[in-house]
Amino acid sequence: MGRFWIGLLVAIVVVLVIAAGSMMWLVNTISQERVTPLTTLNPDGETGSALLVYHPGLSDFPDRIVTAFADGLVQSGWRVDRTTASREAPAGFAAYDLVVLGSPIYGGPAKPLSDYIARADFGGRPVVLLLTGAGDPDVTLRTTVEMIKAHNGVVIAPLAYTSMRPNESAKSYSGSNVDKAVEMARDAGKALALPPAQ
Amino acid sequence: MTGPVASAGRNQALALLAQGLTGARAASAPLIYMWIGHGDLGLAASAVAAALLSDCADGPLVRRFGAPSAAGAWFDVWADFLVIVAAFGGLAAAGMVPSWPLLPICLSFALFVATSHKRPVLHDPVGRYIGGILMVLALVLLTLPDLLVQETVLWTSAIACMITMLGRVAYVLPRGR
Repeated sequence: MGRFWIGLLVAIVVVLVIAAGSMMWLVNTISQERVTPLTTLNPDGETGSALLVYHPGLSDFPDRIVTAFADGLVQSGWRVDRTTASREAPAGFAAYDLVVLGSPIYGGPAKPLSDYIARADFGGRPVVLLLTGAGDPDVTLRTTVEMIKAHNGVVIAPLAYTSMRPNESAKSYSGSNVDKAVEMARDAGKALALPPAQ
Repeated sequence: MTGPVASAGRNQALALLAQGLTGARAASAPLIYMWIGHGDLGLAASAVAAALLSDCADGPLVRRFGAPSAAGAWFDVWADFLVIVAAFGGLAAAGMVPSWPLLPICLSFALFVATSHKRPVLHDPVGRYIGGILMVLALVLLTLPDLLVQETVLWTSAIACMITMLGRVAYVLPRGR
């Protein structure tokens, strides 16, 4: 085997080792709960009270989406309690009119959020689901909605935003998909209307 | 007499083809950037794949049929750099991936430029193929839209660049003293 092929082989092996190591570290990182204190936005909001629980993920995309959605809720008069998905996050929902769950898609919803859903009993509360991904989010959206339903949540708005695909069926905008997604999430929060109580 | 003349003509044509491939690769960089900006990721991925193939082909063609030169080698390196920056920069500008991986990519290229004249030649297998490695990683980013794949590719790119930079710094520093 010539020097060229040995060099190429060494380079390929090194890159594969780096990629495998990076992926293992990233999978471990995204599977860890991140505990943050409960913060309240618009404490005097009179429209209703919402609990927003999310997993921040690795990039700022999920965080920007949930922040924009919370801003939209606040603009339409909601009080919003916001925290990350962990064992420290509120597990009782009696004080809330709405639950908002957010997660990036890593093959499915991030493990801390799916663990949170698995521990929860939403007691028939309306739930908004905010997923962020790079490609097609439909499968994860469907499976996560089913998980929430299985824990007595009523999903009133299953929303998914992507960074690498247009966020409208016919891309009617120019520029960044992420910026458009943030704008759409803010509008969705602002326009949210609860279904009539049964 | 026609045999050697025809052979020389063919060799010259193949050597020119190699330079044409490098030139086409450099010229594809603005198109890659533009296609990513317009969301035509399939077109951009095809262009990066073509650039990768041309990168594999132009060096052997020149070595076999032409006269390898320092200018040709530099042209090759710059063409690679333009394609890589167009792909990673285009994705970052479109908000599809973070922009931080551009820093190690540009730094490793700058360090390569600064140290490539050193003799004896540094044995740097990752650095030798870093252009091809980064083009493959850009191709993965363009064709596999998945957040975990994205993060893995970005970290792999950065770490590969760091390895080649550390190797070059470790090699150059003792000789600079």
